[in-house]
Amino acid sequence: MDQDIRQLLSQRQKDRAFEVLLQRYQAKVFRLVFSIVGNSARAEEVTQDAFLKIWQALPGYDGRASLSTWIYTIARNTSISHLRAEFYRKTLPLEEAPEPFAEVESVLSRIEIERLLANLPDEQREVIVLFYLQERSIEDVAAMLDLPRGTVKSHLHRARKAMATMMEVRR
Amino acid sequence: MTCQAAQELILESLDCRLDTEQQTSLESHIAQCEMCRSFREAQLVLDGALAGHYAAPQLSTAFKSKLAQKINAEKKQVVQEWLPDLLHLGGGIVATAVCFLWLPVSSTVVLIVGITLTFGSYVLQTMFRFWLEDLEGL
Repeated sequence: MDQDIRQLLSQRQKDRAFEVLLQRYQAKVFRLVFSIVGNSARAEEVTQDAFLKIWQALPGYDGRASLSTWIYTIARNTSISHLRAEFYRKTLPLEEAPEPFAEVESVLSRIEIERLLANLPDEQREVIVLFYLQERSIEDVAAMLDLPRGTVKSHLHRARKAMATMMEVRR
Repeated sequence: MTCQAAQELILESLDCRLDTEQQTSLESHIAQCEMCRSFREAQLVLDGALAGHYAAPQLSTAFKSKLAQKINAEKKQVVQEWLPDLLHLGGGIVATAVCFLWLPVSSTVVLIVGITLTFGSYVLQTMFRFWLEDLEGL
């Protein structure tokens, strides 16, 4: 899929390769970072830092992992470092507090959804959140979490079943 | 079709489109099974709620220009970091070349002394810089 980028890299056209890569992955990386950081302004800043790291490391990309896995790993690590730094600073201003996701009129309230998600095991919650943020692409979620497609589907199905059961119990 | 198979298909239908045969057998099972009907309703409610809850955020229009600024700053920083080293080595080479041309000493001696002094002072300077950085870090 990323043959064109690999080819540009082998021709030592780093800037052109980065341009193509940025165009292809910026939205996906942003949504991945957003799923971890939980605030769109912060997520944008962290996404820029992640791409800066990708730009720095691009000449050293050896092709052992797929390009997408390599990019998502850098993005995840950058997001986690950012969260750690925030945690140690412990001064999250009020206006930068994690923002709620899109506010919609729904049969289930935002709070209820959050409560259902909070009761899921971490890996199922992560898959569910990424699946909807990545516009229902199981392939993207699998690449981002470095999991086989089947495992992602099985986490999704288990999470949905568990959430439906929780909804049933609360009625 | 068993209820378990029907519920797997219901979950599958949320991830991707079912083929006609699967869709038909699922619909005929659901028409007769109250439990699977309510399971599908619950799943559709949940799916709609989650899709609305996690509507994908969009990058701002300034994203690319800000990233370009960061990359340019990084490029400048790399040059600035190397500048003292380049100047040092360049200065050493020029000084050695001048001595080589002007001093009435054996050219081999000038070259050996020049190279030794250039690299020796470079190593000392680098160690001194690391020491200063360590002090700053404390």
